[in-house]
Amino acid sequence: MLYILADVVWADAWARTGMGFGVVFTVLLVLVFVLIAFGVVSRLTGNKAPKVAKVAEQPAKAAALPVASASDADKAAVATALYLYFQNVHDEESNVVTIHHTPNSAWHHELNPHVLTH
Amino acid sequence: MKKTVCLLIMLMLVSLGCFADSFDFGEASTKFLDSMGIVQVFQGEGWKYLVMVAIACFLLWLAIKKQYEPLLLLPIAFGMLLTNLPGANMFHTEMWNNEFLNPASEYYHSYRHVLAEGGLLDVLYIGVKAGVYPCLIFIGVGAMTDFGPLIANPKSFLLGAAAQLGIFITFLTAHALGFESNEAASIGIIGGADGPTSIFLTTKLAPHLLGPIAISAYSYMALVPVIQPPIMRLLTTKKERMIEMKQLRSVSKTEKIIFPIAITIVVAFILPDAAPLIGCLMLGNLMKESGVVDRLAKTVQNELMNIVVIFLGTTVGATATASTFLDVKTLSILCMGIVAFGVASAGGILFAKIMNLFLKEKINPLIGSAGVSAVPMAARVSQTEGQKANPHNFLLMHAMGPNVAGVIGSAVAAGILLSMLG
Repeated sequence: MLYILADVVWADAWARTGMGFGVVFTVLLVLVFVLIAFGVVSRLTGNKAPKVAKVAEQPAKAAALPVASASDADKAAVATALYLYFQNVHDEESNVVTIHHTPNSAWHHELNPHVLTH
Repeated sequence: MKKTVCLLIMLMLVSLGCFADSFDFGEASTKFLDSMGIVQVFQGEGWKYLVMVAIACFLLWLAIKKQYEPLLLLPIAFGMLLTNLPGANMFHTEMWNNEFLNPASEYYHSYRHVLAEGGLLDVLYIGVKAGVYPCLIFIGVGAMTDFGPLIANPKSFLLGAAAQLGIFITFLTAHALGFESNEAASIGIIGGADGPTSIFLTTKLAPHLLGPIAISAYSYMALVPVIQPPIMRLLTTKKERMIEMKQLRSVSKTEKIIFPIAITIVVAFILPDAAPLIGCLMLGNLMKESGVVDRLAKTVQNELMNIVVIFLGTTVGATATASTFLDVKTLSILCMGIVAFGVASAGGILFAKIMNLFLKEKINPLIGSAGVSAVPMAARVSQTEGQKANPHNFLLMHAMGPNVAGVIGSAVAAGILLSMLG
């Protein structure tokens, strides 16, 4: 074991480790700044936030547009509630349709010959 | 009646044998017996085939019964089974190692030779060798990934970067255990918890270790819910785990469209070696977010991805032959793989704690462990652990940020290792 450890060129290994991890961190740090710049530009050009603020100022209009002001968590909660509701609307059904022929029906041709002939 | 038919057939066979002058029944029988797989098992080191078949069956059991990453582990294990069937000759390790990769050979880098002489798995393996399959999978991954949480919280990138610590600590550990630099880098990338990236880098740097590294990467990825929670609990206090995070801002469609283009340009300008993986990841994402090529987005998410997974899994499994797999090195790789995962998780958590020293709005350190990629399993683990500490905690979307940042981070790490050692 000690023989193996002595064989390793540690300076090289540490240099590569330091450089590698450093570069990964630097690249992702650059990407952080890119995304921050992104957000700033988006807020300046998109005007998404002010729209939401305006809606909040007018309660009547806000009530008419609930989805626009709802957070993702709200939307997820509403979707889950709707899903659970629709799951329970009906009891379990067989989904088998049975047609029962009965001459007493008003639709039967023996009772409604005119319907069939005209 | 039956007896008469049998007698007639026997008479026919005997008479055919008598009339055929050149037919040597004894020689033919010997040849046939020698070609039988069961006979080869009992010759020389044939017992190794049995061991490999047993390992392949164990992996199949893990994939089917335990459902450990079945989409990949099943084809990998079956590829391993096929390649270790004695006499089937479906994959030729010697051809790749002694001819294709040997500069002194006349068939050095000759795909034509592989097509002419190789078996089914050799032909399919060309896609791995050329680095095509991991990139195609990355297109599909990109098309299935929502970078919204990362765009909404750019700080997540730092957690994704910190979690790459596992790669580099394992790189050092592998060095200490006597592996060459290129092998150490390939082993280290297991800590990125990203299968296609591990395969991509290993194919370029240490192709002879592809089997053990791929199996290690995918097995441990499936074990993320087992490996991470003890580390998370060990490195955080209950108070830290209870931290509730503010709702993320909504991200506009324009931001989501510009994101893949900007990331590709920035990363490729700084680190061109990472461009194939990052470029493919972002291409898939752009297909999804642009909303104008729905058909393409659906294809790369489903058909293309599934086909490539079959080819990739089977051929990567096929590289795990008895001669390459039954080695002390494989055992070391499996041990270091788990170290890589553990250190990567710890790196993310500890960096989140460091960030909390400077941030006004504290982040829950549990989301740091999601920086190891393994999308979305690692994020789910953060959510589960967060909810155990505080039932009102919803960390999933917050954890998805570092989670997808980890994918980008491991691809960048692969790029830098490739540029240093490739």
